Amino acid sequence: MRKAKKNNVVSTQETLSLTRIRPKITWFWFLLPSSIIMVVFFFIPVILTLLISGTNMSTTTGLTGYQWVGFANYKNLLNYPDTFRKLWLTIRYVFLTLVLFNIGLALLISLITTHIPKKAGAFFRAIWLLPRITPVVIYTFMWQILAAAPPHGIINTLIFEPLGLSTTNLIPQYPFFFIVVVNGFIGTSFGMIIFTSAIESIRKDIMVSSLVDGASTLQRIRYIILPQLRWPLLFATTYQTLSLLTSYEQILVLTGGNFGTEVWALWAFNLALNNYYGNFQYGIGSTIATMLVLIGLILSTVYMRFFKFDELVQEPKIDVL
Amino acid sequence: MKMELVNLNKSFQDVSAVKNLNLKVNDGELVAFLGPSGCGKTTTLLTIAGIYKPTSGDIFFDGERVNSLQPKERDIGMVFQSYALYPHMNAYQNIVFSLVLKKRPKEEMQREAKRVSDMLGIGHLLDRKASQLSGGQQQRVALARALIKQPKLLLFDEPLSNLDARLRMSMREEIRRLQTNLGITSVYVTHDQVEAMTMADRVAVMHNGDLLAYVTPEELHERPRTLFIGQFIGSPSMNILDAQLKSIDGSLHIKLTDGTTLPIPGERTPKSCKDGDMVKFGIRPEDVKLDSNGSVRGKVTFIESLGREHLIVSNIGEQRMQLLTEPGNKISLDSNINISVDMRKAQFFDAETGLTLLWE
Amino acid sequence: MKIKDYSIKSLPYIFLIIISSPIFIGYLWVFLRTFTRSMYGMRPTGGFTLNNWALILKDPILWNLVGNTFILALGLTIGILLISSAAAYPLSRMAFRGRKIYLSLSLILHAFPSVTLLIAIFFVLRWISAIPIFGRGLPLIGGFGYNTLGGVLLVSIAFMLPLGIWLMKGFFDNISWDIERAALIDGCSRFRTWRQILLPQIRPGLAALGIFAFMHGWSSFIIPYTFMVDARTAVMSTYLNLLTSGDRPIDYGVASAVALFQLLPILFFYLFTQKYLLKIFSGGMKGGS
Repeated sequence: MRKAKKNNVVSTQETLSLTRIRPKITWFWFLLPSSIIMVVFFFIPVILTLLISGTNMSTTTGLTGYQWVGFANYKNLLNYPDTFRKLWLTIRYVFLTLVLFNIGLALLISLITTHIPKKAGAFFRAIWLLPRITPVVIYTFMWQILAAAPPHGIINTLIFEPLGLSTTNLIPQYPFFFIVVVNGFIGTSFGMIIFTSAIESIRKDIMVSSLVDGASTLQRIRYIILPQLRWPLLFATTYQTLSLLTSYEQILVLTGGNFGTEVWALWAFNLALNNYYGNFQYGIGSTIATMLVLIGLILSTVYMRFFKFDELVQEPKIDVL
Repeated sequence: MKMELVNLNKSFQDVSAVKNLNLKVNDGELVAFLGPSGCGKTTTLLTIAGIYKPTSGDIFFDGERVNSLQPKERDIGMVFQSYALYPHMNAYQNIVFSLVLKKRPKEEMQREAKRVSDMLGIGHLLDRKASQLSGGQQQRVALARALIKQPKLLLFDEPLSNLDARLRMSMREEIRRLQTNLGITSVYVTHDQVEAMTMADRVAVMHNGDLLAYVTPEELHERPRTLFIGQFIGSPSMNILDAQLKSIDGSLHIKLTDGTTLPIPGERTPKSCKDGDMVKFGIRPEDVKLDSNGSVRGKVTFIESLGREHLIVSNIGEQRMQLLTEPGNKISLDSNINISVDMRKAQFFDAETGLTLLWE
Repeated sequence: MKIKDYSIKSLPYIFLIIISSPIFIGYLWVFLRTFTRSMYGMRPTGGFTLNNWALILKDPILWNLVGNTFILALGLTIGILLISSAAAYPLSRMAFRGRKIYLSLSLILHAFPSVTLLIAIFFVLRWISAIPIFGRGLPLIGGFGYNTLGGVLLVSIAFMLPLGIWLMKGFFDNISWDIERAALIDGCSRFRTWRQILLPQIRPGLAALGIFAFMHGWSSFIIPYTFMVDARTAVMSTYLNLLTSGDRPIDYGVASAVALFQLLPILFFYLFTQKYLLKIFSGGMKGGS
């Protein structure tokens, strides 16, 4: 009896395998387009950035006449006086924008808009999302208007002129202030959204019981809300640090990097791709980019591990392919 | 269609969900898989459906090995706990979807849809979306969707557990009636023992991935093979008391921990036991009566009204005994009561292994 | 007492209004300036005019730009929806080797600042240019290489892809397994299940990502600015940048009109789909700052 069945098993298996020559790799076809794009626009460019940073490639050498220079670019970079000046600028820029706006103001706005009537709160938060959704060129154009010399400049005509202060274009006068503020107004909304939803998700009964206990608004913020915001605060801080460190779109449009506002990321971009004199320095530009790429790779990997995003993966509950 | 599982194993990562399952379902039979959640019954069902691949072992449909067949090639219909209707389609589209995939002509679809929807009394609901249907209606549509394919095997995954109690009863009868009339071999997964006991021809009790019993409902209730089954089947559940076998005047008795002895009828003599052995003594609450002449003395610790009856919990020495009484009895908490036990219904289990000492 | 109460209650509003005033004022100024001949700060001085609008709407360059920008926005929307919803399906719901690694990698890329790769991508695009037809010989988008709209589109899709995959994966994760099982038993292939059963159920998610992608493409600046040679023929953002930062004196009326023109669809979408968009912003914001 048992034996007969075994024979049966083998024979059906064979007939089945005949009808099923092609292995099922449905997932492969689904993933193919995104895989190609990721390889072509992420993996190859990462390696390419590393490779180019080892050459002296520039407009002068052309794209083919370059030479391998090993780590010469890195050594040269250390000898530029610019390197550390721009690094210091980058650090100050990232730190101040982060503390004043992306975290500080974001937290303040979240706290205020969750403590005033719902509709008013939502209105102000909607206003603060505008800088993020406004095309960067238009958004920066608005700041240029605000800062321009009379007759256009709004700050000048509304404040400085009536006070009898000197009135020129404010951006060249206070370039650092403006790159921080312009980026800060965009960055604020990230933290604002995260903090607001964290505050709103604090359980109602905890809030109510704190009211029953007679806590004032400030005490409630201090002892109930802020402790619950630790995790969102940490997330926003780390995430925005990386973002600020490597983004340069607003500065590019606002000043182009002039007036001592060329942060590292913009420096690399300007050297290699955006040179007024048409002398593109691919080698040295890639060298700076390499460092940013490495920082980016390390930090983004650390985030994933630290914030346990990889645990968001659920096991598939279907085996068939 | 006959269905057979041979040495079936299914594990997820390192966790073994189904362990070495062997089971045959006869043509036209309705078999219930009964067990607490996480016991592996749904996993088994989904493996039969082809949604899960067995880790090892084989599945046979009418003697043919179907392990590597896709779900759609297995000629099965399935009904889910969540109904699983396609929310963006109306009832008709849901029901005929499998025929659409087979590119059947429109007339056939309409004819078949009418056939199954008349069978289930949902003809007037066909143009409604799933969200516009009540739970019971959704489950009927889901049933129609499974039946329209005229499957050789019907699989039910807790189909009634999202319905309210009254609807559950009527659907129970209806499913059973349809299944018998159509003669479709069925596997019915449930955690509700009443469902399993009332609907199934045979019940497979599963626990932690093991098949504990595979017998008729009557067998399951009257002749539990393990302590687990004894306690799992029946509500309120069987009383289990520690007891010692004691020979008194040549006839075998059990001695409870408070010293009470009860005679064991001959047909209930525990096998391969000797005088002085410790056993687990099982008796169902309905087989225990309040009786002023009863030899067992207890103290009432809890009274619960079940409507038609009262459930009384009493302590016998250190051990708990539940019994059912008519509501008319005037019994108060902490009062002492006398109980008689119908020893012809006694069950005995090995104190260590929990295996029955009475049945094969 | 009462006065003090009021002043305390209005304090948060005063703070919010002051701190938000640059945003109000910026928008207001652009709006006013498009309809006036000249302004002194916030004060219209030259009287009402439609000249600015007439000027730009008659300008063939603008319509060419609108066309390009629209193609870019639409292409990004379609591309990102197709590619990320396809990739997210097996990542969310299929068992295969390498699934976790793929997910982790795309998550790292999601946090990774992709703009740092622009220099290298410049070379990649030049290689693509060398491919016949595909590189630089296609109608409408010019091809997929350097200095083509298609190239800009590809890079834009790539930069948004990790976000798209993760959002879509989240949406797929929430669909009941039983529905997919039912479809498989009814006779669907996995492809058909995706297409006919699962995608219709994540319509809100597709809409949210689609709108986000459209707005992103419609606004995009840095990628076209880097990879298109002539800013005037690229997209609206690069054109406006040219108008406002050139060596010539700026015609504020025309620049404002172009800006408002580009802004209108964005504001429209924002007004009506804020709820959807918030989901995306909080679910996976990146880039910008």
